[in-house]
Amino acid sequence: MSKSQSFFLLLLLSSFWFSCKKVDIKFGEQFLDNGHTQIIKIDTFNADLSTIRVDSFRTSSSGTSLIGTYTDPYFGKITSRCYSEMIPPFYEGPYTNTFFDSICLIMLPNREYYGDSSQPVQVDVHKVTQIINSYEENPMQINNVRSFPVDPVPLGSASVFVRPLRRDTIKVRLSDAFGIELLNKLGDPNDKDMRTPDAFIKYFNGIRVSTSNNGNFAFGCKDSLFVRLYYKQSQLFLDSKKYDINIGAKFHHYNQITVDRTGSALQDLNNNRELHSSQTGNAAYTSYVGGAMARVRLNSIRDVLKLPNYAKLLRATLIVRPLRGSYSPNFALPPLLRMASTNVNNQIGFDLFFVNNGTAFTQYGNLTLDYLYGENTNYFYDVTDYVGTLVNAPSLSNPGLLMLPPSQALETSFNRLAVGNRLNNNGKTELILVYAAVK
Amino acid sequence: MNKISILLFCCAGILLLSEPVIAQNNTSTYSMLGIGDLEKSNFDRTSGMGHAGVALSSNRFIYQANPASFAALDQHFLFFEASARFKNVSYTGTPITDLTSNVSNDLQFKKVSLGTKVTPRWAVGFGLNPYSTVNYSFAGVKAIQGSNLFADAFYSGTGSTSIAHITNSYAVSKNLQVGLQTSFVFGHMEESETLAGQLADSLINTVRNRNVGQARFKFGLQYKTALNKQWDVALGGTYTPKTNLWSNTSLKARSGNTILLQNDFYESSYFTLPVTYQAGMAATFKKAFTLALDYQYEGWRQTNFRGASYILDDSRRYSGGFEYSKKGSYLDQTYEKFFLQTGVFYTDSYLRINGIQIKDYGLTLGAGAELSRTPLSSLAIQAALEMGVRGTTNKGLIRESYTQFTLSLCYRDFWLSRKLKRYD
Repeated sequence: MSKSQSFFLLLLLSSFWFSCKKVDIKFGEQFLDNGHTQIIKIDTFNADLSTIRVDSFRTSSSGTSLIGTYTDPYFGKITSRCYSEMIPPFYEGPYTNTFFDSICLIMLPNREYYGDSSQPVQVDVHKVTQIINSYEENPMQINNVRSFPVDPVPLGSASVFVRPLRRDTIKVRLSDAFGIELLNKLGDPNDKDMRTPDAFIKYFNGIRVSTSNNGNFAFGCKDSLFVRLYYKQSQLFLDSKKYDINIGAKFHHYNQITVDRTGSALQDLNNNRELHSSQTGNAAYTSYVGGAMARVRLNSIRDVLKLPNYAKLLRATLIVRPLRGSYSPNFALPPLLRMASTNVNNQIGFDLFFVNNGTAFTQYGNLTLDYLYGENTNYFYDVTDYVGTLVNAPSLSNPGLLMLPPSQALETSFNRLAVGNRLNNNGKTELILVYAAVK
Repeated sequence: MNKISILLFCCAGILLLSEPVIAQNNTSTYSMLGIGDLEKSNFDRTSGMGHAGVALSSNRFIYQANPASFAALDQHFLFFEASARFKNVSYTGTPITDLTSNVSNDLQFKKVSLGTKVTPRWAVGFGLNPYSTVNYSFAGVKAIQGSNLFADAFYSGTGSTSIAHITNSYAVSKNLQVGLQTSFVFGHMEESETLAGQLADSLINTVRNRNVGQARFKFGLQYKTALNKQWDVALGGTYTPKTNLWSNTSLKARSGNTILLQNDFYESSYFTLPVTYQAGMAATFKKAFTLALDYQYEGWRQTNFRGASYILDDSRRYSGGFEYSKKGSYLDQTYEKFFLQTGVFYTDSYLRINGIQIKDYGLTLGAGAELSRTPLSSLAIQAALEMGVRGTTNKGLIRESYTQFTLSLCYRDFWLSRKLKRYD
């Protein structure tokens, strides 16, 4: 083989090592026959709404005292009274040469309120005449429906302006006789009622705090309410002193919440376990303290399999739109609203979540508020996995999702929600599906 | 030629055969239409003459354009030719927004062909030539039906069709040659669409594979005569009837690891290759200066192939080339020392987009030489440089300015010879 032949053969073979460059030219998209796979968005699937009655729920150990009465056009008249067991501090006597000054109940608002706070509210403090106890089957729990007898004559009453956002303390002057009685017991070396918590609870079963005159305002306080006894003690000097009686066991501090639905949109809920949205003005309602929670069911979701050329669900979005005019700063929407799975008994299950960096976070709807027109007020949920599960598991029951505030605010928040079904022009709850169709 | 040489050439030949399939890097924006970019070059000695060569033939080199030309080859030889092409393309037009990324280039092996003259009148040739190529890719968007939203999309297409042919050529007389090229047009094209964005947890990829194949025939005729001692003229023509290219399309759509649809026989249809005429004439002065003119017509309009905003229209190509051949003599024989060529071409391509028929025109330069200065030289080299423009920037279209360099190796050796022996 000659040198020239070898040279050109090597040139030929080495040319394989030449680098090549390719560029992407964005051209001709309209010419392509790319119709095999289409992405289609539809909003025709119905999100079926109902309102579920909440029979009772635990309010003990919530860390919140809910006090007041307000009338809600959707939920009716909601009244909350706070019951609490009280215990004295560690005995540090002697309480000799003492002179009574005054006694009052002191409460600190927790910024939670509902209704009109511009009017004074009559706060009544009653003495509970029966030891506050829990259920035998669940000694750590007291539900909202439980009540205990009280002395009809209040220990004290006061008409107060509640400034929940300023968090001014609320003071209710109690009966002087009650204060003198306590001071005398402290000073009597033979009286054991003030010496130990158990003895005091038997003597003084607890208090109930409620309101009486203002039917349109309720507020929340921390569970750090206490009874403060002011007295003077003559020693070398005449000293002003105070004696605080605090909340006892947390699970013996609870809120009795009652709902009178007469005349409200949900008045039929008293006699029904649930009401379909068609029975309640094409809307569903959530106020856990109001004894109602909205449920959304995707009854016909398996019909996506009947869509032409359906191949895969890409995204499912649930948009919950509160009814226009149903909310205001005074009747606020839940800032966080979760979607909790449930079962046929309407028990609260797991929350819908999203995963970020391997960690699951509850979806709270990313509330968008539009007080001006209300058009853009909505909660927004990615229900892709949930819908995918329903579609791909035909044997799975479809009890739906409950619209609820976060569990920590469930029994302590007055915020409530009214959402419309697809026929409600004031706020439709929509299920938007994006799917791939391959033909 | 020793056995090592033969072995090396065989290896090169294998690489040549396989390379067209795997080395398609050049983006061709118009290749998404029709059956792709049609290859206008025969990768032979006409590459430097504006691709004009229907009337040309040679005793030393294979002319691919006209199957009748094979009969002019020398007897007792086996001719082997292989070609590679480097192509550089720059793109202009409204769709080109990134001027730093508007140039592509690549190198592809394009052709391999064999020819021999079995009897004094009958020659046979074999070969593999490209017919068309598909090669595009770009990122775009796809409308989400039922909304005003779009999904990110990436489109790409690759593939090619080739012609594997057997050519029979017969010298009816000293002046008249006829030929028949029996070929099998085959190929595979893959078009892919990948949808992404924030819609899905995984990409949605739809791949459409299309396999085509069908026999095709090309008839050729050449007539050449000497007008006088100085002038020789030749006429040539070919006719290729319409061919329905059988096509099977498979479709596979998947999202991540989930198969959404898989159908290996999604669609069976055919793609029609149109009737094609070629006519050419050549005049040679003093066996050294040759002028060749060609005309080619392809009746694509009759195939009624159309898509959104484009149709396949009748294609016409006009080409002309001029060649100077320097001859030498050895003992009592003459041989070609080298040749120089130039040519021009103008093509109305088969694409009419937005009402505009895509034009392709350019200038070619060519040169070649035997690598040993004897009448029995076994290896020759040919090179051609082509500069052309395809398309336009009007109506949102793209203009491709390309430069390509074609290199061909032409080898010959004795074949089935009982009378001539070669002693190196």
